[in-house]
Amino acid sequence: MPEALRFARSGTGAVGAGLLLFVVAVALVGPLLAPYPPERPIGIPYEGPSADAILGTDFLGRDVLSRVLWGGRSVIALAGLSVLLAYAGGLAVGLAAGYSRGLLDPVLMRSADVLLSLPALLFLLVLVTGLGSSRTVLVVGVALIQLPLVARIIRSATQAQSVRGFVEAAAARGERTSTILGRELLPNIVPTIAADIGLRLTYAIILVASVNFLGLGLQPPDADWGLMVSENRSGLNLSPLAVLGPATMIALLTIAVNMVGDAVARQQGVSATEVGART
Amino acid sequence: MSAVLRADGLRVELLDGRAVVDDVSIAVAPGEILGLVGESGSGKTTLALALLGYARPGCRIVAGSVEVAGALLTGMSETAARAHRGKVVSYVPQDPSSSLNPSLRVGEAVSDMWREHGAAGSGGDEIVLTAFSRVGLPGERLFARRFPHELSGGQQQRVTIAAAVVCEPAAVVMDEPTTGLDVVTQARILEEVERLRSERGVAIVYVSHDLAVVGSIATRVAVMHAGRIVEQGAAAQVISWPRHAYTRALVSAVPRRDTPRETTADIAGAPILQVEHLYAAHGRVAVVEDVSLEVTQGACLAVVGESGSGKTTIARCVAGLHAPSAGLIRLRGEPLAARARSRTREQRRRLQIVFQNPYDSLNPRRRIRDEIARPARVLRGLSLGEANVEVAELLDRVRLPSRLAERYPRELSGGERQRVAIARALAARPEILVCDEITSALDVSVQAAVLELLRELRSELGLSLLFVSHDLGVVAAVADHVLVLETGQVREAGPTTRVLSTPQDAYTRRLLEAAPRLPSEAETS
Repeated sequence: MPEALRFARSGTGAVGAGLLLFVVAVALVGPLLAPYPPERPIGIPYEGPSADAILGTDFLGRDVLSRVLWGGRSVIALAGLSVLLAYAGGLAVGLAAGYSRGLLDPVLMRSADVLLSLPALLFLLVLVTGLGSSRTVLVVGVALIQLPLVARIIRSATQAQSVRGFVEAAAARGERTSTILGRELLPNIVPTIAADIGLRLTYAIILVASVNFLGLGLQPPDADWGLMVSENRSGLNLSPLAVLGPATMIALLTIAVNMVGDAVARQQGVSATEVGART
Repeated sequence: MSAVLRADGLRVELLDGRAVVDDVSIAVAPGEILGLVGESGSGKTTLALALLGYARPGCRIVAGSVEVAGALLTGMSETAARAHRGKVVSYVPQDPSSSLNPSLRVGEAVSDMWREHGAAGSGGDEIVLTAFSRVGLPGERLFARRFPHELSGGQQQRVTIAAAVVCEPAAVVMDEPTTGLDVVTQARILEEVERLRSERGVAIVYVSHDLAVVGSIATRVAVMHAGRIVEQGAAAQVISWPRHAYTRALVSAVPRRDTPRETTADIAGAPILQVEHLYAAHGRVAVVEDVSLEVTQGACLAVVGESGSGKTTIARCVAGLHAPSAGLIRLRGEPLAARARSRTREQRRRLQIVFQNPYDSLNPRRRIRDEIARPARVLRGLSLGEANVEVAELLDRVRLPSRLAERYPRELSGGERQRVAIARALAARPEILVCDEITSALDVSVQAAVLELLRELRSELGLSLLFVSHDLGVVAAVADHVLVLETGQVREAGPTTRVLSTPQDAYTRRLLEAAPRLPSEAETS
């Protein structure tokens, strides 16, 4: 089994990976399987399940199943992109701050604290109101919320590594800081990153779904799980599946990401302690 | 006298059935100290815990019995056994800084033990204070209210001993209680252990990797190897006339400071490294004050001192890892910049450092080949191919098989890792090697092999050494000259044989007296 997939040997890892694969498959392949176009009404609103519409219809009489099959792409893409962006910035800031012994550390970290002190949803609201609602604003906004959290974790992991002998040996060779960071430090904080990235993804998914639920992100008639929960909630007692369907998918995605993140972290962590146990 | 602690045919297994301790039988009488000696991985800590009827998670006691003061600890329920631990047999762990709860006051560490086992309600405070004064700690309420971090390492270890004996157990198991303490503190703790034995008649099992320490305190010695006791007998006899091959190897591996070393560098060569009036500080605390030293071509200068004497800081200043606050470091006459990065590539190449902890000094995510080739590429400008060719040569030079090149550090033993670290330093073709306590994390037999390697490298390559150590035996084995350091100041300097045989300074004498030695060595000197 390749190194990268060894996490799946644990129960949590296997179940999580299975779930994640399922949800991602639904998001990617779903649109090809959808029986109806997601935007066209096929019956009366809030119809119960029938042979034509297995999950019933939504508040405009559109097929819920088709919309669930279409609605995963946006959540996964937006959350994934924003975490990628948050890591691109947070990793650089965290490494620089963690390795610096001078002013750089306090300057970077206090700036991160300022970002951290803003309430996440409020911050997104202000961004969307100011810049208009678009996918770019959403991704950048969620990334900015996550960036200081990433930076903090990377910084403390870097600090712990930077006093170790092999880092000092590199410093004594007179290696450039970028080499020390990339060659000596970064590979050794991979376990921390693996553990953190699952958490970040979960948080991003919830944020993106909440913003869409509040109607500040994607706009109708786009099919999106968060948006669907919001649109159909007034008909909850008439056609509960119109809300439960997309809500279940969001829940499954969050749980799966969490389980995989956990399993990867544990597997990486075990090998990290195996290394450290003899010291 | 009949034994108060007795183990018979004890076997402890890992869950997969491999034995960690196998067929061990020992008996300790009241007022007797049994020294249990072995190298890391020999199973001595597992045995020590098994003597309390306890097996660590992942281990099981599968056969044999442990009996303390008439109570059979093996086969007892965990609850019943717990009632005996601390009361009839107690345990002193190795590292007091991690075994004392940092958020509890030290008085509570002792009173917890008393409350768990002692008669309820009878003068708790008084008991704690008496327990403290019994182990040489101040028996004052103010002291009992301190937290572990406010105590020195020696005081912390006294607290754990006080907690272990507060319920007046019949037997105490001590697991490396002085490892990590400096020699002077160690000597005082050993006195305390001896008092415990003679005054209170406690049966003591003293576990240690250090043959000299065990020899100085134990009445009887048991030597452990690969989970079994290979030799057992009176201390003087086992150490002076070891019968088992492993014991003989162990005894001969202990470096002795009275065996004069043939000096290889009597001819005063040109000075290669000069340190002039060096001052260095950590924050506002001065740790090195006005230290001057000189290493000549092909010679070895040892810097000796206890922990906190500033010896490692000197090594780090020389290597360009710590900026001195004043003073000058010269390499072949040229003054060196404070930071390694500001030095020329040629200066960095000529001076290499090997660190104390081989478990920490190799990047766990890099293959050995990578690690060794790096200095050759960075400091000598070799191409990847050229550097790789040299890796096999360098591994051979430090007596390692070339197949290790493709391994990761975690697949290597401590001794192998330290050899790799030395090979990495040699890859730069240095003229002087700074060795910062390079053997202190290694077992004695491994240490002996590494010291032997250093000796060979010196004669093969004409290397000069700046050798930092706390161990006088090691120093006697490698150094031509010694510099004794106390709290950052030079106490004494001179040829090794002269300083170790006729020390001029009171501190050097104290250091020499405190260091335990093998009995045969003590008699002859």
